Amino acid sequence: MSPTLIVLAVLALYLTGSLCVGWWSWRQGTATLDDYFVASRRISPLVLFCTLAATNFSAFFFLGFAGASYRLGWSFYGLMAFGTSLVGLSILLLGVPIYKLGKAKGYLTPPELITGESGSQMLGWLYGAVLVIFTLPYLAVQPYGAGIVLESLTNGGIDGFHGAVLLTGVMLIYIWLGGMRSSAWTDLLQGCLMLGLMLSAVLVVMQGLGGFSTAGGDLATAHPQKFMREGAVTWQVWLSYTLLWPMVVPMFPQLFSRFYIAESDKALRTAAWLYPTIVPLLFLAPVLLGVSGNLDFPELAKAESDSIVPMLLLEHAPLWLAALVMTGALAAFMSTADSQLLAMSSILTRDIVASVTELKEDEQYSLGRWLVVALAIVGLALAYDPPDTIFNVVSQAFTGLAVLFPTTVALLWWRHTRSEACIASILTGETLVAWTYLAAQGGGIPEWFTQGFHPSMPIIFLSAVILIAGSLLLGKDSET
Amino acid sequence: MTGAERELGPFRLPSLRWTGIFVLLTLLSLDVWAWDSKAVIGDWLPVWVFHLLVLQFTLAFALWRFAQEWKP
Repeated sequence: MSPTLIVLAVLALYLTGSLCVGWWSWRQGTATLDDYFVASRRISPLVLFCTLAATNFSAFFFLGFAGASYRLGWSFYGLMAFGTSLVGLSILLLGVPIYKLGKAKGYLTPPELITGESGSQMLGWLYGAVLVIFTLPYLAVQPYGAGIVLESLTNGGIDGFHGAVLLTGVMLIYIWLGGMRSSAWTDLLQGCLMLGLMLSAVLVVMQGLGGFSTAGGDLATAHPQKFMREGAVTWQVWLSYTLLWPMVVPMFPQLFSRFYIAESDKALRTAAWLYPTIVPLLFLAPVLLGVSGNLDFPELAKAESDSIVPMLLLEHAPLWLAALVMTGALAAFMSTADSQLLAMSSILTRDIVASVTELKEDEQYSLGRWLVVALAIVGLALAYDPPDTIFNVVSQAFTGLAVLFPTTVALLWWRHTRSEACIASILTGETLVAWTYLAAQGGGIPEWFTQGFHPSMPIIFLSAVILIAGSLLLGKDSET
Repeated sequence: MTGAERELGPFRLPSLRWTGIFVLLTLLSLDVWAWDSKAVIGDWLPVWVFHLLVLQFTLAFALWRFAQEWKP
């Protein structure tokens, strides 16, 4: 059997599995708007946890993580792990109230909750616009990246764009059929594949390198700095990422929407403690692979180092196993991209079209499905020849979305919150995001602004200060 | 608020005790007192990574307990 045929057979098996799960879950549901966008709010704890994790961990987790660890060493584990474990706390503190409000008031999208709880349509539109601006380019980058993976897996047998079309097509079929229900259940399959295949990759590669102790000893001799934080990161940057992840992850619209789908708040409470139980071990795998990659392939450039996982697998594993493991990267891509498609479709349907025209529920259901198709086509069109602007926007997505965190928290927790102050907070935050981006392109972001921290920290802090001060001032004005 | 009545919110924040526990775990994760540590376990795992692993499992346990008693 030729190597390309082996890869194609593994790929066909995975795609067929995804379609079967998507088809099966569609058969469990009903053709209603509620079922399409929030799975009738009946997702069980285990499936909810898997869909939250698989949606959050994109292809970057599978490939970019190892690449960054190759360059930065074990320090990258520190930047990502504890902050991501703290997402469990966000699932509880934000997820449970959002679930309760969604169930009681029938919210289906993040901006609906913001509009409903603030009483301001303008704030809801602004919130939705920020979600769309920072998520759509992300959506376009995903098929582009998946196409590259498929092209390298088949050694050019399937070119990048055709690979992206194939994967998007399969994803589109199951999302068209079952919406959120299919997305959540395929996430269960894709999440298990990601976890199992990543752990297999670690065992195979570490065995090929002579075992954990031998590889570690060799690495300590050749690259001792890969074990140390000093010289790689500062405590300010470390703390910034630890705080950034629990603030930004729930602001991803595909994650926020998943708080609505739980069958009970118990499902969210379970997902909350499962998250920091799995993340610490899950994150060890790509970091270990990336760090160990310095032994076989020293001195790689940045772009090359992002392919360190397939390079190590081709060096230490049979082709069929390498193909199987890299299928995990495709699963990671699909589990994130399908959720983004659905979240964008629901926002455009409910918060844009349905807010300016009268649409019956079955018309919204139909529109939502067609928007999924349209968004997928836009993503593919951009993936054919992605303009630089897309990558620029994606690079700012985390900070851009984190600006919404103070508004979300205030509307859930603080009775004095004023919608005008929320609007000022978001506009100021996004202006600062644009300014820091432009400054970084020029002479660099001034030290007086960041004080050594990641730029997201002063931006979120200032957004919060404006929200609090504005709400208190406006509150006083209305009393007099 | 400027408009809608909020029948459910605002929700109740965690108690001071639980807030303190989560803040303490986050501060401990910084581990600044051993920032230049070179020590490894079993020749391959940095001690500071092991320290982070222990803290994350402690966080998981704390969240499990907190999730049982917290009523927003």
